[in-house]
Amino acid sequence: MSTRASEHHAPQEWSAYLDGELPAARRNAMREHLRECPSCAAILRSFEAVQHGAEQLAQQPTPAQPQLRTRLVAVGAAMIAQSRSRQRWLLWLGAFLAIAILAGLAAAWWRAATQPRTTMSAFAASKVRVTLDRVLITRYFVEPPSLEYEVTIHNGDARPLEIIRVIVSDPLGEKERSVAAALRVEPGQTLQRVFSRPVGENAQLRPGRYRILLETSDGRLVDEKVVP
Amino acid sequence: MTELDVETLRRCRRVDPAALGMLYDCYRRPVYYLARRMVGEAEAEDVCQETFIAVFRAVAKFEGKSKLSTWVLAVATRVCLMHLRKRRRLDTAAEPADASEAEPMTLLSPSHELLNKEFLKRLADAMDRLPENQRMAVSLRSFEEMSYEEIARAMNCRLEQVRATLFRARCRLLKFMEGY
Repeated sequence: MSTRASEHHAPQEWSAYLDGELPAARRNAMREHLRECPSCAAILRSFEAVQHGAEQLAQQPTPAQPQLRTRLVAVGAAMIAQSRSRQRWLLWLGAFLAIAILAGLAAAWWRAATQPRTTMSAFAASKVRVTLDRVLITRYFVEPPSLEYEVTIHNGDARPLEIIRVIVSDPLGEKERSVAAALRVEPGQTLQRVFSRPVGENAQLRPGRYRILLETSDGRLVDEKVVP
Repeated sequence: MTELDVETLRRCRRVDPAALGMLYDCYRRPVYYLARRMVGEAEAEDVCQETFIAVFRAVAKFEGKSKLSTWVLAVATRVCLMHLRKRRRLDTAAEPADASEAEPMTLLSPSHELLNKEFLKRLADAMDRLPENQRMAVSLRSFEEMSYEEIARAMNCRLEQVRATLFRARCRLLKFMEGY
């Protein structure tokens, strides 16, 4: 778009010129052009007349209605107060829920962290115990060698003892291993069992801690034996 | 157009009736004018009421991204458009390609004394005959400080559309006032 002062400008541009919505350079060039171009000046003057007329119309007084003002202000105040009260209530509710959730989570964590796991000693009071009598490696001709745990389980309680899983751990490299499942010991019964797991051909009984853990429906029974 | 000061706005949010009254006093005239131009004298007061109820309801959420006057007029614009839609008078059809650009422009007589009472009356009548979007743009532009950008925000359209709409509106107004 040329900015030479001698060129005519489109009426659209005079409309934007009037509103001050043109870049400064363009505006200056058009101002220069106005001095020498009566036709463009007439277009601008006509636009100015309707624009200033519209502004004057906008300035005309409007009917005053004090009652309406009072009523609107009262309604507005009530609405804002209600909205603030609702917001405050929601804020309190949100805070309460957040605190309740946090408290619940903290309580759950605390319970998990501090709840004593039922172990052999806990079961001792109810006369249920497991004893790891002996640990040995047996070798047979046809089967691979196995690490065997000879265990005595005594149920002195009035209820049957339901063993869900038996887990052994040893210093031979295996951390924990499930070796048996679903075993039932009747009330008053003492059961001797051997739990075993296969080991390598050249495996030897190493010194260290050998442990057996019985997971029951009521908790865990643990015993261990240290091989020197 | 005067702007409400920040402290008064803060008091409005704290439900101070005196501050709400000041907000009403500050913007009633432009809102009423816009309403009268857009929906006519009979419904202007209703639009005014609805606008201020909407403004009072939302004043706590006003973030100050635009001038308060622009925001209030944008609310008024929406209320006006809602009223027009209710009356099924909203002309949503696309405007014809700018006829005023093709035709020779009508100009006002340079010798005539402009802006007298008769001129304003004819101009008001001419404005009432404009299509709604043009009437809206001219009315909003009548408030001195409304820039194209603010008008575009109030009318929810692009800046270029404001420029074109205002030009077309002015050409049409001049045509309606031919012979003045």
